[in-house]
Amino acid sequence: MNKKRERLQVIYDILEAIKEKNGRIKPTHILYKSNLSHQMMDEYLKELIASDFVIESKSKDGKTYSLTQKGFDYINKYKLITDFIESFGLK
Amino acid sequence: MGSVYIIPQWFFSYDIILNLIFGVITLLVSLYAFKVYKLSYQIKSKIFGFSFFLISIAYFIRAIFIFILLSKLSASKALSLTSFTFWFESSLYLHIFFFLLGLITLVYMTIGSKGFKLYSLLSLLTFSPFIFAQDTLHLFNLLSALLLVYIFYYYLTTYLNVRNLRQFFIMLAFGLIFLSSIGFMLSVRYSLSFVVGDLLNLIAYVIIMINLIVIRKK
Repeated sequence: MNKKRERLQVIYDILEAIKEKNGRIKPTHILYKSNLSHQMMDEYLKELIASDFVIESKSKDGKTYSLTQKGFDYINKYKLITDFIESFGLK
Repeated sequence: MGSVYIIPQWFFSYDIILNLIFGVITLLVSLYAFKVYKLSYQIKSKIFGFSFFLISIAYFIRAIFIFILLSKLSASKALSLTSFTFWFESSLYLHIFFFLLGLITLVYMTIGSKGFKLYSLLSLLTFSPFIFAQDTLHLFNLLSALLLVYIFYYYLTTYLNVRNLRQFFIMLAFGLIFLSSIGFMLSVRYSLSFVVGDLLNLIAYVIIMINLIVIRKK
């Protein structure tokens, strides 16, 4: 594993953190679990929402995040994705 | 047109089968790369998939056109020179276009640039010499070899950075595809080098296919 985490690994960590909380998690928990700066986490979450991996819900308690089917697919096929990317030099 | 490949007569039908095999393997790799892109939005997977898709079209075109040509030859012993030239040149030019565009796309992927300017520059630099070329086939072989040696270098450095077995085999496969391009280059003089070139390609694509199967089975 590289010292600097790969983008795909960071995405996996965020999605896995959401999954661990039964699909509903607050931003502070993601920040803690994913080990990112606040700015980086925001950027990743924006990308994940735009790519339809994560849904953002707003309530009176604040924002929460849950996984879409695409998010679950990513977690399940993460090994396959990284193996393919590594083998064919697509990093 | 210039020089032509000297292919042993007994090898024609094998060449069709081999090109179909190369076409199927490269198509499977491209579909898999698109699947990885759909799951991960990793842009390099999409470009890689596109490059292999173009290369697979090139192989299918060659296989289909050689098959049509052979069928026409066996159906009417006296195929007109105009008809022969039409089928031969059409297949060759289309194969050259799709194969080189596939390699250009692969080179573009290895550079890691996101701009379209570089892609268009690479395409322009590769295709413009054909306007002035007197020997299309020789130029095609030369350009393929140059692009492939760059791609092989990329996979060699990638392997040396990580040193795992799967990347070694991919590096080996691209090395063999590069060597096969040298074989095709020599085949304008020695007919057997065309056979050697095709066999090296076969070993390379089988290695790539095995790699893909191993990834799927995990």
